[in-house]
This record gives sequence, structure tokens and C-alpha cells, in this order.
Amino acid sequence: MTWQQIAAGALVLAGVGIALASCLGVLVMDDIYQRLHYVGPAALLAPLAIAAGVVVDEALSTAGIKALLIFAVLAGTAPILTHATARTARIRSSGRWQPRPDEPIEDL
Amino acid sequence: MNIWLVGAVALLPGFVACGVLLWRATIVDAVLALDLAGVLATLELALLAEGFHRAPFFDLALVLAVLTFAGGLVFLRFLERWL
Repeated sequence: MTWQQIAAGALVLAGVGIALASCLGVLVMDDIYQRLHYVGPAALLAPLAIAAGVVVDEALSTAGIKALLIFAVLAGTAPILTHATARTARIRSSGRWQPRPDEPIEDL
Repeated sequence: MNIWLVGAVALLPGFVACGVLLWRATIVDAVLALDLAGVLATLELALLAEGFHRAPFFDLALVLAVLTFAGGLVFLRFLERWL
């Protein structure tokens, strides 16, 4: 067994572990705003670990480049989707996303 | 069997968590669970593509990553305004 295989295996297990921990976090949190924090690691750290594992295993071959592309797409889109989800939750719960005059921003 | 396929199998319980959330929580939480499931499915496809040494199959994961984003935004837009 080469050091690449060991490193790639460790990265894969780390990525899968992070994704599963995020799913658990999403499941046990109380409301949507807390849950949104747990989508981050699954959409950023897990793909990064798995893409790094593919690059360690196959260098910058077709698979390596595509794995990095997948990470780049997820890293670019996940924050936007998280913000849009929080905004939708806010609008559905209070009718508008801006703070109301009687709502001190410090408490948000 | 290799570490990539082991990782792909180990990732499957994550879909159960998303399913429970889809079933139990509010509709916006369900969209969040759908997005997370899309990310998990993207990782699943990437692990399977590497596990079976099929580089062209990485394209499926790449397309799914983009469509998860687009689909999520469409759901959210409708939930914000019309539903």
C-alpha cells in the first residue's frame, strides 16, 4: 500500500465523516436558522476533502480536475443557497426580510 | 471493494437524516434538507466515479452540483412569493 492510497483513504473518510456529522447537526437543531449553519461543512469541507483525495490518488488527471471543479461549484453555490434559504425563512415568518422599526437589530 | 466505495456506502445514512427532516419539519426546512441531499448525492456520484475508475462519470456529479443550486433557488423563490 502506497502513501497516496493511505492519504487518499484518510481524506475520503474525513470527507464522509464531515458530511455525516453535518447531517446529524441538521437533524438535531431546533430551527431553520440554526440548521443552516450545518449545511456549510457538508457543502464546503466534505467536497474539499474528497476532491483532495482524488487529486492525491490520480494527480491532475481528468478525474482530478473534475473533482476540483465539483468542489469549486459547490463552494461557490452553497453560500448563496444558504443565504437565500435564510431570507425565505425570514420572509415567510415575518412578511419581509428587512428589520421592522420596532425590532432592534441587536436582537437579530 | 476499495476505500472510495466504502466511503460511498458510508455516506448513505446521511440521506436518511435528510428524509427524516423532509418528513418532520416545515417546508423551508424541507428545502434545506433537499439542498443537503443534493450535496450528498453529488459527493456520492464523485465517490462512485472514482471507486469504479470511470472519470467520465464525474460529469454527472458536476451537473448535479449545478442543478442542486438552480433547483434550490427556484423552490426558494416560489416559497418567498407565491406559496
